[in-house]
Amino acid sequence: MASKILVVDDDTFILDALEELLHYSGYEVITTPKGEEVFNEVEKNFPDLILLDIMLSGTDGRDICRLLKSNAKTKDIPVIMISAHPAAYEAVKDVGANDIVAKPFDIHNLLSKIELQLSA
Amino acid sequence: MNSKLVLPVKDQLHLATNSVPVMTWVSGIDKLCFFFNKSWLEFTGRTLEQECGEGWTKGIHPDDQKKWKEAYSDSFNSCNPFQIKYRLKRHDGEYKWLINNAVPHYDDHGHFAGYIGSCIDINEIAEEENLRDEFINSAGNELKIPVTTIKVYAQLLEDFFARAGEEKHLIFLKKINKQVVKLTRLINNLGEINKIYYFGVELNKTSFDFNILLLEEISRVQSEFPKHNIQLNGYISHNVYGDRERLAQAFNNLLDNAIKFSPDADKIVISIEENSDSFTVSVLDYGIGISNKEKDKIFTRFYKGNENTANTFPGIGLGLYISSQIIKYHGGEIQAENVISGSKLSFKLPYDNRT
Repeated sequence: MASKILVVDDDTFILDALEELLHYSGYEVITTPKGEEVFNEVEKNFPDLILLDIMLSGTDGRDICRLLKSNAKTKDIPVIMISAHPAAYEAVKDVGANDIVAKPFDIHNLLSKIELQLSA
Repeated sequence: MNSKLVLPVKDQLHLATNSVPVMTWVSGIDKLCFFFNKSWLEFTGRTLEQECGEGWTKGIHPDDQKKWKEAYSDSFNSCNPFQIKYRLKRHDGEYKWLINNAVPHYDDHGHFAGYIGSCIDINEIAEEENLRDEFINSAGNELKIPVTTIKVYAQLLEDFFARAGEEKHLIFLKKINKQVVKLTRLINNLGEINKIYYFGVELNKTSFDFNILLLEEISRVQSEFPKHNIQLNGYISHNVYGDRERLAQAFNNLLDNAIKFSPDADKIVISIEENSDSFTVSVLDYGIGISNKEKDKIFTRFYKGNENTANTFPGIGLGLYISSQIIKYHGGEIQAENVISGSKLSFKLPYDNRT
């Protein structure tokens, strides 16, 4: 069965592009542009991995990640954060994120990071 | 009048500096400040006793503390004049931008004895600079959104066409993708320039084989610019301890520069020289060369070449500045030379600067 990925980004163009890319690569995809919807989506769909943008309108993706990682039910879902800064690794380490990609990412790099987390 | 009257140093300093509007401080060989003039004390609203020693550094803006400490102690090692910008707390609690020029002073025997610093309020200019920097940062971030989307679709299409065996379309897509990579590099440089200028280069160091880094970067640039034959002479026999990604970026900028400024040439020669604890990589081009006047300027922020070259060779003047900072933060040196064939840019790096 295809792995299920939840994508959270407030820019709908990027959200659409990621949805197409992940569909094409054989994943099942759920998307939301709203940070606060993450917990509902997780409850409803229980994704195998979350792609989470850091800068969401109204919310900080890092706070969401911290909450996901502090909840026993969700802490084992791998989270890959999407950042606008190429050197933001330090900033996501302490919120428990499993990996990070910088915009504009290379699709092959993103896909291999996803595979790595799903096979871990 | 007794012409031999010698006033104590502090009194001489009072006399010399209290009548000028420039804020002045003096430090001794122990790095501690022992004098502040009237303008300084009026600005901070504190007493000489409170400011002396390291007391005054409490007034430096928390975000500028590290920058100050590094510049100050680096200068004590070199004994050279230095200039630095920082924010200092005024008597009303507000932070103001100052530009601080410091020159060494010497004792009777001509030995280095500390620094004399003078500060000018540059708040208005600094606020404008901050606005510019913020603009650069947000423009960079905004540009990333459309570029990310374009890149995802262009790479997806490249994949489609490759699978379908549509060679002609594939070539178009490859060209788009190459330009997207270039655009990405420009945007990343834009975003980084201020960060590097104010906070330095963050390094993630490991021990690695520098030869492989060179070969990888050369082959990447070679595939992009097949006209230039890039030769590599020499070998680095030790592993290097440093930030691999950053050093690749630094080298890559030098290569890009060599290609850009030698449009009519067909080769670039990379040479390696080894010393006991360091090595030098030089990039020699057969291009337009570099004037003596420009040699030091090319590593400064936003420098784009002289009036003639700036129009012929467009760019935004970030690459070499970033390279120079990456090398500097690894404890290395970067330099440019004019040679008969063109120009030679080289950097010297310690194998490992932990000791």
